[in-house]
Amino acid sequence: MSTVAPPRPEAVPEIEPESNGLVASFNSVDTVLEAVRVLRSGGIERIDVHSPHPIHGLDDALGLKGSPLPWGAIAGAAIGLGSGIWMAWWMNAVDYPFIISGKPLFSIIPSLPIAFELAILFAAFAVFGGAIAFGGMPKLANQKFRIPSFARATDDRYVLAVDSRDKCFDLVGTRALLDEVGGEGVTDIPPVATSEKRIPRTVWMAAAVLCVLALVPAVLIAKARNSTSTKPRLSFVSDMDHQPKFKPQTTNSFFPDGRSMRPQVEGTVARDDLREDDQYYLGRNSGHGGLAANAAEKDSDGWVTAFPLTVDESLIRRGRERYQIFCATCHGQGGDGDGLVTLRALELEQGTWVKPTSLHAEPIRGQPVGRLFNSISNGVRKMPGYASQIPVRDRWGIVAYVRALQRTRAATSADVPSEILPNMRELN
Amino acid sequence: MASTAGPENLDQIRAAAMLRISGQRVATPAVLGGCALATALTVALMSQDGPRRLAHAWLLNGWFTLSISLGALFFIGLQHLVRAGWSVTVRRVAEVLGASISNPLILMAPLALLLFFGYCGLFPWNDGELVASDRILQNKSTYLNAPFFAVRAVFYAGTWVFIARWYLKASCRQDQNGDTKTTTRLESRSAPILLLLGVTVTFAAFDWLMSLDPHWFSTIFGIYAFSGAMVAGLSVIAIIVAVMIRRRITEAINCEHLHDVVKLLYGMNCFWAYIAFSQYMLIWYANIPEETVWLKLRQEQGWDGMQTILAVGHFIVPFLVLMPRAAKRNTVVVIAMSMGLLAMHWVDLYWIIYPQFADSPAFGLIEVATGIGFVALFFMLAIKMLCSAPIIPIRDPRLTESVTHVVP
Repeated sequence: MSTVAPPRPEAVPEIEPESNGLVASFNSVDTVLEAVRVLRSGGIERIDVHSPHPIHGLDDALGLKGSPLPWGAIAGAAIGLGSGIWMAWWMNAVDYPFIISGKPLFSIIPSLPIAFELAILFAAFAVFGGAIAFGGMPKLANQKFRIPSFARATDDRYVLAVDSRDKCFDLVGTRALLDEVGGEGVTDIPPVATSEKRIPRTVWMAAAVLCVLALVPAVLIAKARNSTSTKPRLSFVSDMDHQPKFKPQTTNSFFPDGRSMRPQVEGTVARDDLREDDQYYLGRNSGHGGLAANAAEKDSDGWVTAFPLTVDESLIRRGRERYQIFCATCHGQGGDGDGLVTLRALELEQGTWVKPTSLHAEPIRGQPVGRLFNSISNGVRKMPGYASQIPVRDRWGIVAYVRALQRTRAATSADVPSEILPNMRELN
Repeated sequence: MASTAGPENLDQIRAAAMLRISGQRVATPAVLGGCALATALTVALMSQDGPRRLAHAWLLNGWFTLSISLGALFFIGLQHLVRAGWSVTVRRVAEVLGASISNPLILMAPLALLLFFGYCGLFPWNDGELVASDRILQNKSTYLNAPFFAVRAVFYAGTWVFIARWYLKASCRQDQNGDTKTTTRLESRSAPILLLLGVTVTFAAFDWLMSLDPHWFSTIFGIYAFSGAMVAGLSVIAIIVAVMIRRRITEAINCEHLHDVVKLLYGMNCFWAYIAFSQYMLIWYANIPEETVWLKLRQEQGWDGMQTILAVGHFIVPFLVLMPRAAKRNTVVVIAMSMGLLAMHWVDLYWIIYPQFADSPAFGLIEVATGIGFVALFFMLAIKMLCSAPIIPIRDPRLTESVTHVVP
């Protein structure tokens, strides 16, 4: 439709299939804004302006109402906020309740960061999806693209388009009006041919094939999940699944003794970490390296009976500090086995909890210092070893402090310094 | 873009801006402020725990007015740094607010001087006996001692006063000679100035607010104080801009500028909430006694209610009310919300400072009178300076851009 149609006074329904509307180019913001005002004062509402840049005041001139998109954003944010809090509550308090650091199973405070992130994410989804939906996308083609002059709307022209579906649209009258307000190159928007409105058969075929193919993995997975097989599972990266290496604590036929973990070669010396002094590092006399076969033998297992280091006030003070940090939580400040953890475990009636033996019990009092040192280092019964957490010297400090604690229960007035003695009072 | 503000229109605007607001009302706030402070002093000296309460009220209201200036200074630095065009016409308001910083600083000087007379009612680390019996305070005493504290305070104050006066003077000189080099100089120096402001505000917050509990520490505290200052400064700028629009003082300042100021205020208020929550959550999660002790004190004896007030009044209400575009352009809404935010900033500082000595929230004549005194004397200086200079930078090279600014 490049020629001007002759005037047809009663022909409005017949024009519709021939034209989708009109476009006109303008070369300044002021003229296009003026054209919009003139057209709207003539009752035409279905107007669009294509511009290379945003134009202030165009929304008002076109009479565009505010977009509902912000409401979508705030709704998305609210849903995200709610689902974040719900998720934190469900996972921590319902699905897998697990007390961490004595915190409540659910608390609003740690849930807020994830709720905040989800609020932003869902708001972004709402805006992204809303912008696409309100923009009428996906749109495969636009008839305006067929007009050569329309391309300049991305460069140096402001293109005004009037839709033929407007109630006041009249091909001749509107064209005249556009010419009058200074529109250049007023052109019809070509109508869509009926043949072009259909999606081609090949596209349908391809879509159908893709849909069928998409079912294949799902079917295979469903089959695999609901059937058994005697074959080993598929190994996609077999050299990672099956590595030629010796794993600890396994047998291996390569060596005569059948062990894959190799003992150290005779005469091996540890680098930087030579611990020759067994009395100091192990708490026992040399030559008693093996494990004791039974408890009775263990008692006479060569434990050192005298401290292998100088015991002075600073060592005992250090020992007291370490004891209060590492030991007192279970053993209690006084060593009676009444630490806070113990009290709490007994209160909860935890069947697996073994109450620590009082350090003032006779068997413990009788133990040599080396044995106490060994208990701290390697643990005893349910008590874990503390060798990795407490340095050797500090462990001896704790032993010294425990000895001091034990002595307090068997002290007499002779043990008290004479200048303090007058201030003390007799107990029954 | 729009050709409505031609040169002749701009000249009119310039001429109108030169007509100074009549400065006859300066005496009223001066007398009011002086009387209020004198009242607070008298009332405080008459009761037994009055002096200690007055010291805290003094610090609270000092920091409150100070933070308005600091927020304004950050605003100016930021606008120069990003070479903003829109904000030129509201910048003079910020410059004047920034330059008023000397008043709260002078008024707060006695607090630092008292330290040399052994006063430890405000800062416990100045108590020699307490420090001698406290190993943590002994270790901190190389930093927390009266002479070094005073040296640092003088450094902060000097830096701020210097920056504030430099911004105002350079801008006013440009009003006369129209030298565009002034603008380039302001821009290039704003980067180090913002760094300096950031460091001084952080350490001032550590010194003047955090060391009220010398055992407690929080590395985020400086940003917390900074975000509060931004909220306070932008609130006052928004209020003044809104009042100027309502009074039709100049057509160079209109709803477009208000909209952008309030957008910044809105963002900084969200930032405050973010920082406040971050500080709270990290302490809550780590649950270490030496950190929780500060919050525990503030969650008992009625202080917990203030926490709720802050969460709702400082964040949730302004967040929802100021969210729509229309609200940010409505002078009545903006004035109401900014006033509310200023009140909340005061409550925030009250919640930081007062639990250190008061068993439960106490609010009386001392707080009111000190508050009136500081605010009146602060704005006396601001009004005086605003009256002695054009209300917009009339020869700024970006004036046209600012006058024709439209929020898209």
